[in-house]
Amino acid sequence: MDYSEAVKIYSQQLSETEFKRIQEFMLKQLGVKLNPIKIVMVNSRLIKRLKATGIYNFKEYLDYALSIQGKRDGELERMVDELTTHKTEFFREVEHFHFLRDIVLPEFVKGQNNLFQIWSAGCSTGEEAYTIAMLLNEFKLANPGFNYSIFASDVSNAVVVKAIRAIYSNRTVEEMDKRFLKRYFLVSRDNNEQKVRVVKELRDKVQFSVQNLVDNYPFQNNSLDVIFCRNTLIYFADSSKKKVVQKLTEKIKPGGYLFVGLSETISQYSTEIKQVSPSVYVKKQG
Amino acid sequence: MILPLVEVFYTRNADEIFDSNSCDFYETIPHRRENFHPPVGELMEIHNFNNMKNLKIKFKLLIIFGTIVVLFAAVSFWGNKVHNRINDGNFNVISEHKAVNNLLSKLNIHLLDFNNSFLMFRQTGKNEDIEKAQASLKTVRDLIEKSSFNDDVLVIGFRDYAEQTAGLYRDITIDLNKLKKENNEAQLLALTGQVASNIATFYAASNDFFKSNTLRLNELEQQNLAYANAQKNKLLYFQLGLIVLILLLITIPYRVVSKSTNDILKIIQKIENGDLTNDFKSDTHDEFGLIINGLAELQSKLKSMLGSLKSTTQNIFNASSEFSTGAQTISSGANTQAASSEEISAAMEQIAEVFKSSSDNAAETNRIAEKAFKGIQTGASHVESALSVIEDIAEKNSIISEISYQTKILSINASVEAARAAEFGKSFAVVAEEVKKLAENTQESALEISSVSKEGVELTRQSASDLHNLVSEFQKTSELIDQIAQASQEHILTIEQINNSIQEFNNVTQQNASSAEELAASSDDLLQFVESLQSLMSVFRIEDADTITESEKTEETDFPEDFSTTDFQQEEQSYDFPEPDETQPEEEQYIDGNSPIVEDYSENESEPDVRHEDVSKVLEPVEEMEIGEPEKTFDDTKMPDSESVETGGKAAEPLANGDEEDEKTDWNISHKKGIRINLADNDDYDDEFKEMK
Ligand SMILES: C[S@@+](CC[C@H](N)C(=O)[O-])C[C@H]1O[C@@H](n2cnc3c(N)ncnc32)[C@H](O)[C@@H]1O
Repeated sequence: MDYSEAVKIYSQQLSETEFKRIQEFMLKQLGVKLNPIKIVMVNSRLIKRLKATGIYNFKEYLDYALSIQGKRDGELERMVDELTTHKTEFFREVEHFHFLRDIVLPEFVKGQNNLFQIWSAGCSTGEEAYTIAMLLNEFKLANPGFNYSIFASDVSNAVVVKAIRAIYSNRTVEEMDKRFLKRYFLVSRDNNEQKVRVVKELRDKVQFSVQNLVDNYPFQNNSLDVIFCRNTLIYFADSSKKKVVQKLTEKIKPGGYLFVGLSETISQYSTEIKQVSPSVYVKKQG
Repeated sequence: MILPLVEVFYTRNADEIFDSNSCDFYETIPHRRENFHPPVGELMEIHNFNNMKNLKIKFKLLIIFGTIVVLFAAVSFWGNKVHNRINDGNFNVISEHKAVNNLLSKLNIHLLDFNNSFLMFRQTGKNEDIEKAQASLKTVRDLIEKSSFNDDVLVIGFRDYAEQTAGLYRDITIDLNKLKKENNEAQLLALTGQVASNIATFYAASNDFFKSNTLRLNELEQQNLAYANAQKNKLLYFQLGLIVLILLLITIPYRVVSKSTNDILKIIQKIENGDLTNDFKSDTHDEFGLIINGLAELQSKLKSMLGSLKSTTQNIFNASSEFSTGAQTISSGANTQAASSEEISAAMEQIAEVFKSSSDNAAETNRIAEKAFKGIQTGASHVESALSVIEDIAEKNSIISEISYQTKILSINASVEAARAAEFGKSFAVVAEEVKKLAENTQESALEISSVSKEGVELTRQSASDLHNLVSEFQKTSELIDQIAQASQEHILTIEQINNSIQEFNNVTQQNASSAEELAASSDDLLQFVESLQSLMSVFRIEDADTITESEKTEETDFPEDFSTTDFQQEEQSYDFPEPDETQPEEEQYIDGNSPIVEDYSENESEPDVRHEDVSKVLEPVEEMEIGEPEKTFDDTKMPDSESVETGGKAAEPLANGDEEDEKTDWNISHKKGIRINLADNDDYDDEFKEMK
């Protein structure tokens, strides 16, 4: 790309009308709300797509991305991938993992259940799911009868692929407990690569899929022990948030748990749940 | 082939030396005096040559061509001489003999004239005839005397003879005159006989002489021919030898030129191919030597220039690759930061929302508390009035009690009166009894009421005072609630402000991320440019290959210390992964209909099979990050291609419809049942990784 092209791209401005199209699309398709102030963010995020597609005009780009052809070419996917925020970390909001380890799991083994089923909804690049996997594996080592299934899903195909690849930069595991690191990660042979990869045994424990939270879920009602749906609903509009919370709650066993992000409060959306710890909700019995 | 090479070095001097007319051979060399510029001349000027030593090629050529000219001149001079000699020989002999023959024939004629005149005189005796004879004799004598004969033996012999004859005829002439005067017939006759025999002898002699002279002439000619032939052959050999010699001499400059040009061409070719590693130097001082040394200097200058250019581009490359990785890091950092910031902004919005709702709640609580306070206050006043009512009742009750007592007394009196009235008073007595009972009951009730009301008064009084206390407590609470409500009202402002700043900050971060990306992209471009520059430069080899790699090897980095986990004690290996429980094949638990979790699809009973299909699909185009099966959700019958082409951007419009419609919009990105992605090559990537030390 030469200089004049670069200038041409980077001087493109997303107009209100085009922004509205995106707003509408995101709300309808993902339940995600984009406040007017997000126009700047949308603008700067979509510029990458303009650059990649060579369509140096927002209107034309959207005409393409939102067309059948755009969908066929996967551009719609890539646009969605750009517009969603995928921030995540290993052991993010660690209190939740402590709660899982110290309260949820011991409680589970006390009951007569034999398969612990947990779903990371909005898993992004998989760090949350692998964190859960590490914890559950550790727990299984201490409690041999314990069995578990981990499901993880995201609406963005790209992040799910990354999650399955399970290749992360060294930086992401810098603060991780060295024992976990040693046990569950490989390092790249090429020292310049600075990458780590989750070991196959752990990778195989997590089943990833592409799943939009506003759609139907492939689970039976009252079948999951725990759902992690953290920092995903924060992007949702109130109405879609409510629907999703109710749908998620449906899938949880009575007495099962729903974890949301630490900044989130969802008690107002469902009468079936009760807060038991910050951002941790339990589904009421019966 | 030789000539053009020679031609190059064919200088003006040579032209002056070799006169083009003097030798046929040189006429084959084209002369281009007009536009001929000796190429070495410029070089000579550049290098400011001042020494004959430096003109060696020219010099060599001068010598060679000079030698050729001298030899040629010598040969042709010699040839000329031979030719002359042959010519001379021929001419001398032949001309002499021809002169002799000529003389002879003249003499013969004049002798014949004399003879005739003499014979005439003999017949006529006329003076006139004798004079004629005498004149002829005189001519003969003159001819003989005048003829200059060379030393040829033959000629000398003839001359002697001719002189004798001339002398004889002179005598005869004298005698004739004398005899005629004397008229001495006998004597004359004798003389005539003598003359006749003399003439005959002369004829014979001259004939002999002529013959032998002719023979001699032939012989001489033969001799000359033989000599000429012999010389001609010699000359031919010499000339052939000379030509060979010239050819040989000419190959000297040719060999010098071609060898040197070959060398130079080789050098130039190497330089042309960018190979500057060869060291070369010429110790000859001719023009070629100068050219080679000039090239060497050029190469060394080029080498040092390329060397510094190479190191400069290496530096630029290093810098720009550092810059590029830096920019990449910044970009990825900025991207992460942007994501974090976006996340924070979303979280902050949540918090602000929660805060807002709790602030609303506080306001609501305040309102309720106020209402409650008012309620309590009215309640308290109601209790107060209730107390007075109860007291009133108690008071009224005592009146009732009194009345009932009096009624009882009255009823007793009445029953006494009734007994007196006997049969008539019997029914009255019943009434009196009833009244008494009523009065008693009333009194009892009144007593009870009294005690109850007393208690009630107590209680009411108590509760009135409690209420009083409560009211003041409530007042305090309400005040606090009010404070909270107000405070949270203020907080909400602050939080909104914070939220706004975070949103603003987020905007900046997003923009940052995109400019960082731009930077990274352009630094990548730069790197690529430098790389291509380097690959262009790599055409030039200025040092031996192994010295280059040396410097690059030093850059190896070790895995960051953090991951060497020296601080971590190795635990027993067996700890790692418990065997998966055979009874619970995990693969099947998800999505598969037979798993413990059977999906609930009450709403779309007809569809669940599609889900199984999805599972079985191996979705390949992972690198392109494509959703595996775009066609799956695309409803061809609803949205034919042609329509999309026409409507273009209009595809986004179905948004307005409800959920039901939604599922049919072709650009719906949803995968209603979730799609398992199977990356066939996933485990292959493990080859690039190793266990941690
Ligand atoms: C910020 S990440 C949360 C990652 C992880 N749960 C954590 O807390 O670290 C939010 C993810 O939700 C996903 N997401 C957004 N809208 C979604 C939707 N409608 N259905 C499913 N996932 C969605 C995004 O793709 C993104 O990867």
